[in-house]
Amino acid sequence: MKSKLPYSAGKLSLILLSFALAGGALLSACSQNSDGSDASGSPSAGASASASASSEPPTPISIMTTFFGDEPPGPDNVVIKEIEKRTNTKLNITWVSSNSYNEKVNVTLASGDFPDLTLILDNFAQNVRTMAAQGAFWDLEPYIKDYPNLMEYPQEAWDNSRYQDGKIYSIPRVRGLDTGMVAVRKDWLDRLGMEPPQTTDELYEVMKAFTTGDPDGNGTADTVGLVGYISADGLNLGSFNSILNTFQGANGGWKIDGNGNLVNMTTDPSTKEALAWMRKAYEEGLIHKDFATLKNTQAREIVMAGKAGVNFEPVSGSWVMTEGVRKIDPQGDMLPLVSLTNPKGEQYVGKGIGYYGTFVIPKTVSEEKMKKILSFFDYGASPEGYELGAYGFADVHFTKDGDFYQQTEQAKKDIVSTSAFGQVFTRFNKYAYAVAPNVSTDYYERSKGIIDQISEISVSDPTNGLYSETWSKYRNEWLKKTTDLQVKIILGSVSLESWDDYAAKLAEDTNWIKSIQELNDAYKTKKGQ
Amino acid sequence: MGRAAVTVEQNGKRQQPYGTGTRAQRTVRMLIRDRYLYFLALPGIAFFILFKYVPMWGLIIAFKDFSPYVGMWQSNWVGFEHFRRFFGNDDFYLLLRNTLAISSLNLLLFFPAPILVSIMLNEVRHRVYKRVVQTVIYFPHFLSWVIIAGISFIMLGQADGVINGILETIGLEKIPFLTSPSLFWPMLTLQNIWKDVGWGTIIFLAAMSGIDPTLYEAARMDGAGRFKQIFHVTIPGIRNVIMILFILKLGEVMDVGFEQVFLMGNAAVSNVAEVFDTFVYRNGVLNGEFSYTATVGLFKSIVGLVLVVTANKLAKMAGQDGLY
Repeated sequence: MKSKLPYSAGKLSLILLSFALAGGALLSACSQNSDGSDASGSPSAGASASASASSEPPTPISIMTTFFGDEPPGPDNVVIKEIEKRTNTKLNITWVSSNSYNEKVNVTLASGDFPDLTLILDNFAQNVRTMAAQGAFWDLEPYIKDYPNLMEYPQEAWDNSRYQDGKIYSIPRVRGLDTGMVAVRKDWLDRLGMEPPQTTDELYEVMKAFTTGDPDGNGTADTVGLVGYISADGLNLGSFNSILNTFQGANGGWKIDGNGNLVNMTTDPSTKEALAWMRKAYEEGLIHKDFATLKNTQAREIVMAGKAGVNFEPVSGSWVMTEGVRKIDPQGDMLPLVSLTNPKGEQYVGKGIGYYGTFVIPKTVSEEKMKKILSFFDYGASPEGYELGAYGFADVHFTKDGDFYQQTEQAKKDIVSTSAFGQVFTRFNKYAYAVAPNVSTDYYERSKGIIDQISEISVSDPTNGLYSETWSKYRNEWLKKTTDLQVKIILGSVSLESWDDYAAKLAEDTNWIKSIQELNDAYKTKKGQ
Repeated sequence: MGRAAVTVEQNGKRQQPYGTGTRAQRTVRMLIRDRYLYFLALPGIAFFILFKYVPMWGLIIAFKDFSPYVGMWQSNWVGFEHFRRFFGNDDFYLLLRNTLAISSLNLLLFFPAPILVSIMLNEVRHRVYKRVVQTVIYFPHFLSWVIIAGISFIMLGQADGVINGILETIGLEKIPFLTSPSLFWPMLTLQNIWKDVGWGTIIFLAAMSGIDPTLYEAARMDGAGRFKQIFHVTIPGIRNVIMILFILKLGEVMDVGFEQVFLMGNAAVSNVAEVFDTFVYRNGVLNGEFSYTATVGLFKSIVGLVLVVTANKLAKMAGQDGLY
């Protein structure tokens, strides 16, 4: 279960990213190849790698990574053989099931003897930080400039993977940066003659109309405006967190104020406004009655059953919900919204960190070999290398229709997919969240346009990669208490005013003040580099 | 071998079957005589030492600032720092109250339930009917908590819950079963009873089948009716078993079952649903504070041990057979 990751402050984005992984990788029906972006750079990298093949013996590279599905590809897999030939390497891959990857990698790291390329899902976990500080990994920043395909990864993904000391010790496993956050039943809006909401006030009106206006036209009031879930570990408001962040105008609740200081918005009045908004909505029956006990998939299922019209989910999830809805209502359409504007007039949509997990190279590897590993990885980030790794041979393993890859039976037989070697070779795709199994072309094109709009305004979490000893010690206690109280306020079991006392007390807590101070120092250190 | 020798000494003292001489001499003589038996016991002893006693050294991390990367031995000693933080925490009393309340309800209501059921089953004379009932009530024991939580959500939900649906059709107000703090503890106890009442009867039925039938005959001869037989033959016949199980249960007072509480809990009921086990999960497993949570675990174990030892003493003082 991915939600058992020790969370960093950018936890929501991690969850969103894991959706992309599950959605994009598990069924692997299609993906998108941003052709033309750098057509010249990549084949030459491939060519240079294969050119050296004739003269040098293959470089042995050991890899530890994860896979989805029943079984991983074997060592004599046709595609892996071809990759070895083209990159002049000899690969020794340890495939670990995604269910137990975290435990396995922690044990391997603790032994001090880990593979040449090791995937770490939570690159800011305490043990990984300690190892990085002790010099266990190669500092890659001086080298990556020489690899054109790796430099195609967005700079933000690289920056977000920086450690406290400002260095890049790992290669991000890139994912889309712009995830989107909320989807609304477009066909219901049309039926009620409403426009897609752009502000939180408009959203409220839409939720009201969805609850009382019989949007499905079946004559009974059996629908509800908003459905969502609370995070299973109880450490944040789950999908309702996006509402909180919209009111705060801050991703993850952290914001840089006018003086360049990092501030936490939990104690800001905007948090109370968000709670008041949700409390009122719940009281008026606009939010699903059972939201406090629902899980992520249950919330989706309620949408798919045509019982709710708004759900805070990334763009990839909106297609999943649309596909479900269409089984009972062929006109059904969950439209991802670009952003929501809060009462202060700030337009908000969150931004992901741009990767899910990173690969590290141990310092015990020689500099020469480290460079070979980087060029192997660079090949994997080229259009040619990525297509080969994730989809195999054209006409044997896939056929291509525009941006979409159609996999053949042979691909299943040979275990060629994004769930297998596509977990090693990754390539940045701006529209990764628009990609979903079975997505229809017009839906996909629309999502791409929405992601383009989102990318212009999305807000990232400034605390990515920052560390404070006090914060990490008390974080879960605070997050838990905060979430508990927030849920009770929304349910109406305690008064809205109790938030004032809580926020005032929290703002005075010496450990809270110390954490924010430490994170500010960390922010400045990281910025200064 | 140290443990074995101690046992032998005690035996020697009581029975003195190995002739005269000092204690040590007798011990050695006995060890030699029964050497093959002790060889047979070796794997078992090794198992307990390796897998039960050696890991107990891990408890020292409760007194250290444990970091997995530097390892258990290199981590710094911090003395009672974690204990101070734990007992000084406002949440400590909340956790203690919730844990004790949930387990007291279990002891009070869930513990007697299988006794009652097994007495009733024992009175059933129709063999086939008895078997069928037994099998049916055993079954929920094999369901995992995940499934039971799922069933509970379907039954008790507010929007589409079955029970609330019924309440609505007969014109009553819907009840937020899952998000009402006052209903949380009773719900846990009821779930426990539903799940394990059948399974719990096994041991009591076995004990009842061990009661000498002549006692019942004698009671009948004296004119005792069914109820008199239950109170004067059946219950005294299983009193020892009840006592032993009760003492064992006392040792688990601090363990209220992580899965059940975690699955049924939610933010709305957290002030009654937060127990030591969920606290350990959140802080230890999710946040990596292993030392702090080892402290909590150690505290739980000590309380459990003290309760078992005290209860055992009390039972013996009351003239019952204790655990040991």
